[in-house]
Amino acid sequence: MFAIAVLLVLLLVLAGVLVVAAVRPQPEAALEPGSRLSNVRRRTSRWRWGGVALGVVFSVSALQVGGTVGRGVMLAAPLFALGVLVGVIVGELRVAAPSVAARSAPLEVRRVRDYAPKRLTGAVALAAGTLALLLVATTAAGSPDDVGRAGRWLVRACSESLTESRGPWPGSFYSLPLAAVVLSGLAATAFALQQVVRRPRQGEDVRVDDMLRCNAGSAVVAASGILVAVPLVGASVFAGIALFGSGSACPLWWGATVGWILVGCAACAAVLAVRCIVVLALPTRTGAGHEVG
Amino acid sequence: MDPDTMLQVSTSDPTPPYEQLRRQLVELISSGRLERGQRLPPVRQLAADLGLAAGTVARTYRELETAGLVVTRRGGGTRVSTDPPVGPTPLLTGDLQMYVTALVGQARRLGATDQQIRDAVDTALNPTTSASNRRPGPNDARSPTSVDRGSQSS
Repeated sequence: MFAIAVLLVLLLVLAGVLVVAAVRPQPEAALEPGSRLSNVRRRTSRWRWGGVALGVVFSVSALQVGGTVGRGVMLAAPLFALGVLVGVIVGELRVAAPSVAARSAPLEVRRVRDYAPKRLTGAVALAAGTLALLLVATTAAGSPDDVGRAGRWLVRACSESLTESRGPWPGSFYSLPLAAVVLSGLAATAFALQQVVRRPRQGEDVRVDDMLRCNAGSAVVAASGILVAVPLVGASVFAGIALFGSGSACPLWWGATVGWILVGCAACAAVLAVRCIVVLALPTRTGAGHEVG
Repeated sequence: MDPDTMLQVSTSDPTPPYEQLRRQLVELISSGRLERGQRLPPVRQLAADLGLAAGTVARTYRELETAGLVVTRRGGGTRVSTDPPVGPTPLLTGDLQMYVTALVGQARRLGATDQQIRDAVDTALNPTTSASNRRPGPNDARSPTSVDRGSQSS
């Protein structure tokens, strides 16, 4: 129930941001209609929103086929992010290479860090690292539940005759499919950023071209933020609940401490997830936070 | 963006694109507009910007590396050599034949006969001797004037 509530809150945030995005003035209205850059902006934006739609389809499908033990809810957000990344990648791949006889290219070295928002990228990398550590720990500590599903409970042996079990626990039952989706998403993130950098220069206005790349880079990083932050919220909350509740039969001295750390971690990840949704829906017009040039 | 450091490629030029790129990069390096140690664009990025195959740009970089003008390191990209060879660029395999073939092709498109092309090459190789020894041909309507002028001035 809690996971569904978190997901609903995030969906409401997304819906609100989409409404704001629909009614606010178009940021790149200054682009000359019909110019190459205008076409690039239109094409990449359409594919990005197509990716959002694909992500919604993915996550709804995950909710429908994920079963009743929470796997679908857990995979919904990462699959949504995966859909967005697919949209960005296709959009960037659809930018045509020059086909005229006389072509020119600047002798510049474009790098991913020129187009990815620095602070958000750092926060997402931190969240990804935290998620990896948490899942390794919870997978190692997981035990089978009452019907034998591996890694779904936290079981502690208080004595030879007394055991205490808590669940659901983010053990291998949840962490392995989650890791598969998140790793696929991170690979897609790397590929998408590579495409943002490598796609051919369009038009004469390098600053506008760089701004479009910055927006695409922000969308990619924001999608990867959703990819890792939402599962981090879920895994932290469920691990924290299990640790808070443990110790009634045999006290666990560090349970509450680690539980509070996990609650803090979940709160930070939730803030990051909301921030990523806002960035994804409202790309900055100037690539704020980027060093364009 | 500095227009001096823009690379140009024309697909209608009979010179292969990799050679067009090589010449421009040699010029940029030898003139100092590309500084020593400066990094060149990655092969795939430059190929995408110019709408060329990655292999074309890779060939250009390979030839520049053979000539000692750039250095490629795994993971470090391709950079202008910190110690480029002094003097003219070493003649690369096939370069001379390619230049001459292009020259002959262009001269024929202008309507020149084989003899006129040979004469022109002789003149280019040794302008002084060729100008004084040259005899005008039947189709060379303007050459007597130029030869005479050359003889008078020398």
